Amino acid sequence: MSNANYSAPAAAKPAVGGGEYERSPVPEKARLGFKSFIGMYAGEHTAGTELMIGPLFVLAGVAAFDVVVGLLIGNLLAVLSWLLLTAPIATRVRLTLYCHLEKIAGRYTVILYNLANGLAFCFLAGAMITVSATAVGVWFGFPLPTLADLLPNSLGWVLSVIGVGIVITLVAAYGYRFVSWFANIAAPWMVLMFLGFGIVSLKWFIDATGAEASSASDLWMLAETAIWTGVEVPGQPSFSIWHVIFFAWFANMAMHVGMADLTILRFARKSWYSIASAAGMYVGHFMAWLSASMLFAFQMYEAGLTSDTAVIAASEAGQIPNPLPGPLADQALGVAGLICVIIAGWTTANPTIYRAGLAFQAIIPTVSRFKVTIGTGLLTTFVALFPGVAMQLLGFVALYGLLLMPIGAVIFIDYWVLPRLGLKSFYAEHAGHKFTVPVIGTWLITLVICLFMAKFAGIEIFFVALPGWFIAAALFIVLSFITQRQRTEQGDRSSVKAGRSTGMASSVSTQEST
Amino acid sequence: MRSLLQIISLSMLILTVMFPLLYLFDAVNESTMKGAILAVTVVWFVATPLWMKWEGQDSAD
Repeated sequence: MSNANYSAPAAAKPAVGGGEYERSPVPEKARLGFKSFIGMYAGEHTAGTELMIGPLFVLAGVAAFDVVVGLLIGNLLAVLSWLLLTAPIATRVRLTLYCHLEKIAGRYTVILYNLANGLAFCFLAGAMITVSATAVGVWFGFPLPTLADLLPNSLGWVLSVIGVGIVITLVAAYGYRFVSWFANIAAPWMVLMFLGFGIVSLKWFIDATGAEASSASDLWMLAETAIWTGVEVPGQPSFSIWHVIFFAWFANMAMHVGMADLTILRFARKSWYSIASAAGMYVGHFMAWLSASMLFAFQMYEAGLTSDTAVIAASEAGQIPNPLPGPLADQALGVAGLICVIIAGWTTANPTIYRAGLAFQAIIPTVSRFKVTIGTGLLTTFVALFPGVAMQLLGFVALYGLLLMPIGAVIFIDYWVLPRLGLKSFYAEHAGHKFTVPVIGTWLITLVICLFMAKFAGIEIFFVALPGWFIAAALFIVLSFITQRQRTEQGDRSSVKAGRSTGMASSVSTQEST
Repeated sequence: MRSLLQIISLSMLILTVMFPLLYLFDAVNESTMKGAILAVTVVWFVATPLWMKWEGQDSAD
């Protein structure tokens, strides 16, 4: 999710996503080169949440081939989504997502989108605060949440989360630009620290197994037999290669398929600059996820949990190791590892809280940005108190992408398909509407169908977004056709009526004059 | 001065990976590696802000 998105958007973003040209296309002079996007994407997708996602893969019982090949393919699909779906529209229209959506769907729809997006950001930022608080817990020695904990499990945990949350909130409200600058400083170091986690855990595996590691085939053998053994933990999602592919593809679905990165890529001189997203995917969502999962895999290996029988027994006894980034990083790289966890959570939670605040402020523009950010930060801190959110991050990331995906389908169809069917693009702007039935209908009906498929049709949440996109596309075409046709017919009837009344009036005036 | 600081920062990045690699190949022990990485981290965060520009004032508006 990152961010995240998901992974979360990094503080590097303002360099290309600043407040300029919010209501007008980005002019030639403000467009940016390829390098600007490489740094931004690499930093953005190496976030605190990567340290949670990697271990959750291990708990989901991924096998070595599935996780390595699955991530290679899934991340490639994500890059292709940016390249083929988002960038072509971004570099042709050059508007922010919000401005673009307002033209299609009207002001009120954008408010609804902001509300959904703001709430999702709060949950993501909450998971990042959770990540940072686990590192604080190592220092102060209070009991950290376990895998089974959904609620706060100790006073120390509550105080730690509140402390981290308040600091992050105040900095987001007062000093966003400082954090942005600091995040840019930390990003290269943080990426290499993640690599360090992987190297150190590889050393542990080599020592513990006594394996030879003199060739690539030796390493692969070690990966298959000790690191990613394919043994799943009861009560956790069970991941095959398809799960890994779809998870990696859709982890940032809101950004590419959901079109949120129109706001960023509108600054790109060329559409193909969007392949810079590969830097983020293969650094953050490949190397960092694998490194973090290796750290946790070693905890499982050390506890003897390498067979189904052992894992089931440990699960029943409540003895599955906890996938907590703080203790894992401390064990691997000591104090520097803890600093890395805190900074990773802090620098990525800050812009996320800031963006959530902006989204909420758009709904209540009369309240200052400062007050909204404080309120957003407190809501995020409240979310972070519940470790269950971070522990269920895989499912939440999938749900976040799904929530905003129909809007991406709407933007894609509106730009490429509606004009070819003789229908109007930017219909809300054309008709002067603040709210359009085709967009709201498409969004809500698609979500209901997708959630129905996930709940009752046995299709897991990780997979429903793909059929969901096609459902959203078809729905938007049908609803646009009905709405625009009705308007045309009403327009025709009005003009006929107007014509008739004009004709009658002129004949009356003719008679009067004669 | 700026170039010198940039060289120091670059060296710290290289050392951030170098020490785990030295540990991997048994050239240093775990505690040395952890101490060295902490030192590298401190130098990185002291040297890099000196040349990486601070852009703009914070605002609470």
